[in-house]
Amino acid sequence: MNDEKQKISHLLDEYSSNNFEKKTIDDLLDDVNQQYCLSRYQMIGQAMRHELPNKIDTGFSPVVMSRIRQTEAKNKFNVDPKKVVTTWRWEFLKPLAGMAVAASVAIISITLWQSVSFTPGSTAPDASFASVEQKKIDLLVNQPIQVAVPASTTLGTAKRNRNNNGMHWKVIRDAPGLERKLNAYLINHTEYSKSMQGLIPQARVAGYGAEK
Amino acid sequence: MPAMDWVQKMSESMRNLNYRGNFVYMHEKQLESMSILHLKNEQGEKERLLSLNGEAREVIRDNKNLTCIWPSSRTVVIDHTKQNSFSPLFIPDDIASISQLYDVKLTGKDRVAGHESVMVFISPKDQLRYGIKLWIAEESALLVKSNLINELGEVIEQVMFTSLEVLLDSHDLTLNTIPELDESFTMVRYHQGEPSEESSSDVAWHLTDMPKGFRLDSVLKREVSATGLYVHQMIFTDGLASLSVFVEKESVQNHSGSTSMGAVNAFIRIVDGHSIIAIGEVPAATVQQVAESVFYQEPNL
Amino acid sequence: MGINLLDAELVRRAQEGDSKAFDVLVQKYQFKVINLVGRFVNDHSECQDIAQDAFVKAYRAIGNFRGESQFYTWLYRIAANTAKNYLASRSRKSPTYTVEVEDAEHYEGESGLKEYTTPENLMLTEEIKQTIFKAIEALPEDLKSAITLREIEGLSYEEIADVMDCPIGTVRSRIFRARDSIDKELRPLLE
Repeated sequence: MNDEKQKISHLLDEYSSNNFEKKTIDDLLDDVNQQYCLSRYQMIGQAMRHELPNKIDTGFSPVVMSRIRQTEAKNKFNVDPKKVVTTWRWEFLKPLAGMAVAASVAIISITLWQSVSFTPGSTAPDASFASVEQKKIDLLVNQPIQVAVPASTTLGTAKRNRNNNGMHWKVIRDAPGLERKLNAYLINHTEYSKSMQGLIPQARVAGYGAEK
Repeated sequence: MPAMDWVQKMSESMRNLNYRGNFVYMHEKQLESMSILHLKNEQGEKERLLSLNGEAREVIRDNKNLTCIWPSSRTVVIDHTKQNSFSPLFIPDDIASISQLYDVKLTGKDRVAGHESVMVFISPKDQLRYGIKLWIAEESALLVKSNLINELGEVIEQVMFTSLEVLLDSHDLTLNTIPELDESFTMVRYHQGEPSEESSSDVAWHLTDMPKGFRLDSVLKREVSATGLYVHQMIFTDGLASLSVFVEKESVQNHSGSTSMGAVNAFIRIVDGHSIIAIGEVPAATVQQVAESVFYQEPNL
Repeated sequence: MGINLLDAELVRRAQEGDSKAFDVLVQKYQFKVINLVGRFVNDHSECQDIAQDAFVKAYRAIGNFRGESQFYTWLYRIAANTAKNYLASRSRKSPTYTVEVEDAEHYEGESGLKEYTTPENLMLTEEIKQTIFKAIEALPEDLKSAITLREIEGLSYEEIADVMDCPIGTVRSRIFRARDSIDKELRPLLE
């Protein structure tokens, strides 16, 4: 399984045709455990990019596939034009109208997409069609922090994150008072001194450990 | 265009253009992924930095305040902003004196985050300060990569954009959406009010052995809100690098010695019941030399 | 960055009628689509319904996808328009052209599908995120840097090899080892 998982990991990132193995996809489609693995690997990246929704429904994809199967079954029956013409009854007309509308939705969708413009600063959905980076920025700007998390959860989180990433002063991890003071002085120094280091001072401030 | 002109143009672009991008900040084998949005309009500059890996940590800077938000620990730190503290922080005003301490030269061209860039290397002539390599986008003159290099020639900190986009509009509204902070957040203000400038003749603390090329740039006095005590800050610069000496009555838990974080070094020393803390983006030997040369002398003597 | 080959192959197979291939695409993009729809609709169950609709529409229209853009870009357009149409139909008092109502009729008789969405299936993202972040923090620096450059910065293996100054094979291995280590902590939560 480890070898298969390694192939899945690589498959997830594959953008060049070198080493691309269609057999890996055959194996993936035949093995539900590999599919779950792919899904979890994908979830890791989405969590890192803060792209996960607030609630995760692990039954989402079975519902979608069930609806697709039902739709397919209906369509096979409904799209037969001979039956529509020969019977001409309301119950057959309705689904046909549904199909016609569904087709027009596809056309409308494309037209809308081409004509709708994105207003900077708005929460217009079109922002998400842009590059991953732009989407990320828009998310950051429009949904700055997760203040809605209950305080009790957050306290727990803070404790769990005691060793979260971020910068720390060497040697003095056992002296939190001193570390706080040094951080404060470094911010003061950064704000009131001159420096030619571009973004490094800013990055340093933003990179402080979460528990400060 | 000469190397120093590129640096000056970069400083102006970083201040005057609207841009956003993602960059990685690497230090001591650690990597922080961040995004930046910088806006400039008639009201001034605004800037937002957000740490993308781990819990979101956010820094918002406008003309008045520097606000740092740590959602996971529900902490907000607010400090005053100095008018000229936006990135990059400084346009050197005395190029002649800098040339005595540093070599500044163009070293080639490179492509970073899709931007054709010129490379400028500012290398120190001694071991009392760091060197820095800058990659400056030819078209926009924005900084796309920088390496901070220590006295041994090693890269100790690096910033590199992975995407960078110049914006035509200031997107002003987007930066006004500072999050509502509920009562579970702890607000920390490091000092009350603006720090006041002091004239150097009022200062009772002096240095006997200033590192070559460094000079006293400004002296500030600020009140620590928690204790009501005053802290003196003396800022020294050689024209590019800088360090601060903080002097406070309360001793820092009797700690003394050196410590570092990335390229920042600090040296703490106790003198006459005061803590002397030298801190800056300079080699350890430089902050130590400064801290060890601080002495007290009554004013007006 | 070019076209994702996994997506391209899954789309090709879905176009040939392989619903398992489309299922993998659903699993791959469900959270992105739900997130997008969540920008229009706050209610969780409405959001889920609209996202499901979007995938169903995508499946029906997949024959029209020509591969000129990334699959997820195409999918997002469908999802955004599904959400817009939903909001438009909800705001109309006397609809004369009710796309979504008509479309809804198309799905008549699907009650009972909601049985999949039980409270047990709903997990707080916070718990998942914390587990993942904690696992990332426990990684050695080289693995942490590799996975961060890949997942957050979106760098290719070649670019990561350049940044980390190591062979591409090492990058591939580090990214897998990082994912595998994180997955060991994540999997018990989802099983």
